[in-house]
Amino acid sequence: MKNSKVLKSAVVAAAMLPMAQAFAEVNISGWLNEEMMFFDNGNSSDVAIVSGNGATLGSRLTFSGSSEIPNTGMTAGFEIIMEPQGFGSAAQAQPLLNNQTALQNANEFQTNITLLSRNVSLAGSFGKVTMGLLSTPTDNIGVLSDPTLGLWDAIAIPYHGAGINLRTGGATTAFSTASFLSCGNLGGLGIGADCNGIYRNGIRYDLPAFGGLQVAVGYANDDIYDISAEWKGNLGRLTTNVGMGYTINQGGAGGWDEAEVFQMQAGVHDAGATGLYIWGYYQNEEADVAGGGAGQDDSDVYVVKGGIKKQWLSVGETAISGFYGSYNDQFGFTGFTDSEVERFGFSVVQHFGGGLQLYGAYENLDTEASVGGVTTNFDEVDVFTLGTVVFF
Amino acid sequence: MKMIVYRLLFNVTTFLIFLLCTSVSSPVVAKELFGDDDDYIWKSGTNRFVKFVTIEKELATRNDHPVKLDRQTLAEALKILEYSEEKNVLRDDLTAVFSIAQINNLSRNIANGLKRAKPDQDIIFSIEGLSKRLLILTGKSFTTGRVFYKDGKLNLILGEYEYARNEALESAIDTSGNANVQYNLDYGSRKKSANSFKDYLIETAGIELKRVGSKVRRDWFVIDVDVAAETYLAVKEGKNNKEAQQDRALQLEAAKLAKERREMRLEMARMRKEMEAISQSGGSSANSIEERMATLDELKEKGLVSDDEYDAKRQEILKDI
Repeated sequence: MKNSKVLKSAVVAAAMLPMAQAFAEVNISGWLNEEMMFFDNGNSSDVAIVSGNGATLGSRLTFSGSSEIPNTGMTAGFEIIMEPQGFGSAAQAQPLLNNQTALQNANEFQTNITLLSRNVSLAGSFGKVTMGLLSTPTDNIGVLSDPTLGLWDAIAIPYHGAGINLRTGGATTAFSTASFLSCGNLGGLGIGADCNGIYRNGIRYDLPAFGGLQVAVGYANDDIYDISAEWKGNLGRLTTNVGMGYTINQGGAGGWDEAEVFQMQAGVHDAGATGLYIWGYYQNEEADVAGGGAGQDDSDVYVVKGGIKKQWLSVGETAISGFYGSYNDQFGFTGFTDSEVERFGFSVVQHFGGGLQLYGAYENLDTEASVGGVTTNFDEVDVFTLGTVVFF
Repeated sequence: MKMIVYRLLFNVTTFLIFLLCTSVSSPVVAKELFGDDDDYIWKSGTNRFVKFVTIEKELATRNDHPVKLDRQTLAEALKILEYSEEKNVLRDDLTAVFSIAQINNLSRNIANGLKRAKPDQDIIFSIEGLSKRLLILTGKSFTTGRVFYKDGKLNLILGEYEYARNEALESAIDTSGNANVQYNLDYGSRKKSANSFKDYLIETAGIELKRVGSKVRRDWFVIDVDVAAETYLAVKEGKNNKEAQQDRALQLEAAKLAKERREMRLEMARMRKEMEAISQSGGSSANSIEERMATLDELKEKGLVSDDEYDAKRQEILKDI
């Protein structure tokens, strides 16, 4: 209740801003993403209504604005992002679904509205400097780069079903798929890809873009440095993007002292003619385990997605995609010494202009892990998802 | 074995993507796939531009390019483009298709572009404007379209109309905040409507909708630029004349009322004087009484005294008899 009053006040305040002439331009925008998910982990199955894409990429309300500073050629800006579901709503957020028991009890009243972003910026011919709680240069460098903007049916982070309990021969284990998608740079958060994919308190500098190339450097608490380079453009009828990023986290978290993450991605979409597209992503993380003990220290991730996006229906474009991902040795501190999560699936997304997407996706998650020469093949998890995203 | 196959597949895919993105084997393929910066007539950001494109090959049609259009005339022709959300409404309830800023941009760049466009080229545009959002707010949006000149007329096919930007999505995709996000916009097509503009364009002299067989393409405007510009000027003059006439009529009415009020005041002053004179002279003679009654009747007739005042004064005069 308190949070909704804060939200209402914020909305009214934002609407009043133009009248107060504090900022020349204030925008309220965002999206809502909800899904119905059916899963089968080899022993049991169930249906759950969940918020899509977990936290940091889930439903959000964004307040942003900019104002030219007279006679300077510079523009001041701000951004506040609130998510109407956060880490606290564990049983209803995708990657943090722990097991079927929790799911059955997952009807508690949703009370969490978390602050995702809160920053100010100054831009001019020198580029742009942003400070506060922000998205660092390598955040989303390889995740939200699918040239078809298919961000909810399937992205490099295996959100769908990653939190479902893993079974062996039907027997319960202490693990979920997310246990084998551990990011050392994020203190073990089980998201597999985009291993710098959270908002941090820091500062970033975006160099002036030239020829479609954007380079950014950043520093975040505590002792996290990153750099990214991205090129996007239209090459005739092809929509293209290429990007790479490097992060070093010297602050340590979750059992790691230092972690380095390298990511790269590339995508091509023949938007003007055939509608065919293909996109690939690679990530390597090297993490020093605190105290030199046993645990994950080197992992690789490969993801490829391809298909066709074209307008066949009058309401908007349809995207049909297939995807495959391999997440290797992200076993964290599970006690295993090797692991692989293989993920494949397909999806269909129907766009209704720019305001609505309906999608359906099927995904299979196959996890195996080994220690001391003994391999554990966990039962495969199948997930079917029907979801919708509304933009405003 | 499976891992080797998958990794090989991934490496091949990555190599193909790299090949497509960074190099081509022939300039023709390069131009076909990658285009040319000379294609842009105007560009300001990822989704704001006016540029040349080759006509869709399978259409086997050619435009009457290059053609010289006067920019001012073109701007006036675009200003007459108005629509309503319902059929058969009054001209006063219409909305302009393009804002003045958009018209200035389009008229300048389309005129420039058509001067050097080739017969096998169209011009497509994507321009920014404002549109209503969340009932009380306005937000930025994109309007796109395709333009070409054929059979002595300018053809404008709308693609997206007021396609809302989503700043939240842009900041998530492009974390630099520079909004370098490519929206997948439809730029309009001869072959089929984008179905984004569903309102009713008002057809007038110089402006008509394209008929394809028995169907009317609501997104395809066929503009006789000179006639449309003349229509705009005539409508503007008519509006100006109408407003001038209305002002004149109001002025005349005000002057007439002022004159009547002035005459009334003078009449009342005269009558007051007469009545004072009658009172001073005793006022009891028959002539005086007749005059007084006549004066009172006159005042009553002109509405300068109420019924009660009339009765009271009449009684007073009669008492003097």
